[in-house]
Amino acid sequence: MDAFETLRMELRRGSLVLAVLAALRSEKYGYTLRKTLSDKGLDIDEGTLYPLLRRLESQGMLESEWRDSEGRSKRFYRLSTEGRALLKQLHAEWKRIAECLGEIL
Amino acid sequence: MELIERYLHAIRPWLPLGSPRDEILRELSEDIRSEVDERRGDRTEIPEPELVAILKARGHPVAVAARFGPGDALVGPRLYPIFRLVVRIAVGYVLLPVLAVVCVFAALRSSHPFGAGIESLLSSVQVVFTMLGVVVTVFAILERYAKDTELAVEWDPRRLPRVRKDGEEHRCHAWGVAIGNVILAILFASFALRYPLLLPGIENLMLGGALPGPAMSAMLDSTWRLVVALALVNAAAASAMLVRPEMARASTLVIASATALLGAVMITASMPHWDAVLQVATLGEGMRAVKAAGPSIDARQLGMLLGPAFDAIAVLFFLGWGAGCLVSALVEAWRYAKL
Repeated sequence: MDAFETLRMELRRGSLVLAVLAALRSEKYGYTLRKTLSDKGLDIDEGTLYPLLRRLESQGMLESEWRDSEGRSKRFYRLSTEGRALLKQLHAEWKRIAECLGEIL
Repeated sequence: MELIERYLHAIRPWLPLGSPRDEILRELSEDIRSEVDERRGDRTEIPEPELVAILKARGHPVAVAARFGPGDALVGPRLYPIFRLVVRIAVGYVLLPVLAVVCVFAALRSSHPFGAGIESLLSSVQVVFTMLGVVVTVFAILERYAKDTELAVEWDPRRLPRVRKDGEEHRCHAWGVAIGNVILAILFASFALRYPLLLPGIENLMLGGALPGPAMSAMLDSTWRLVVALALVNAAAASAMLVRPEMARASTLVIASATALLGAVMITASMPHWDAVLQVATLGEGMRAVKAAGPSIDARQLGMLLGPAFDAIAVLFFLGWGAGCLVSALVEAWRYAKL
């Protein structure tokens, strides 16, 4: 793995949490969440997404439930109240970092 | 859709220990089926080549499972399938059987079998860890410096094994092996140690000290530690199979190897005492003498009359048991090949 790829992965890792939280302001199940992120140019494999969702849920940021949809049982995720508050804070922090970086770069 | 089941089934055993496997597989299954639905569009069914392409794009089952493990591993998901295969062949199929045979021979050839066996076992552990260290180092270097294109693993979802429905059969077998071997270990240790607490009333069975006779004593003393150890290995392997059904293949291999060793130990121990087998003919004579003596006969007299014949029976028993173990090992090897 070359240096660019390693640094790119590091850069993405932190941003993914923010992207996932933001995408889950409206309820989605795993595949539609992946599609949403991918359509916006943020590809994420299932081995990264599902452990991340589980971690965020265990931290109380997300809520989930298995429900029947289109003839199959699917697990739907959505932001919890705590998650909404955290997203707001993270979003503000993200904007601050982006502004700083904009000036530095 | 059977291909998806086979794909998920192939992922399961490679998921990290302690992870919520059922939940991960349920979500993965839903994820794959959602993608299949989307690609299928208005068609009634997705053609197999398209389904194969979807699964191949997701990656080798082992690589997919490895992504659910902790990050920053020395050997990452792209190399993990080859790493597991190399470790399995080098350690599981080559090193461990060879070292097991070396340990048994070291124990059997020494005048202190237990000490020699333990010493040999400790050296073997060292060899195994050294080998593992070398393999991990080589793969860690590859992980760091090899490019993705050089590490592409060719695989075809159509060649994944079919999903078996015979889990119950394995469970019954595993229970039998586990319980049977624990009982064997307890009984063998009890007789070898002449320990009456584990077997109430054993003093009477000892026929006033006539049992065990010289041949039986020699066989018990030279083998009991090894027999108990191998029986406990079998019990542990069968228990592992019960707790982790996906370990059935590895556990069956361990059981087959340990049972074969058990058979070899029993037969080897009985070999020097085959001449005692001739004394089995004295059993009838002894029984007649016991009958003639009437109810006044005590345990010691009984032992003197029947002891030699029981010694011969013990040798035959060891021989038969050893042969039975070898047959069992063959059956286990056949089960292993079927899994």
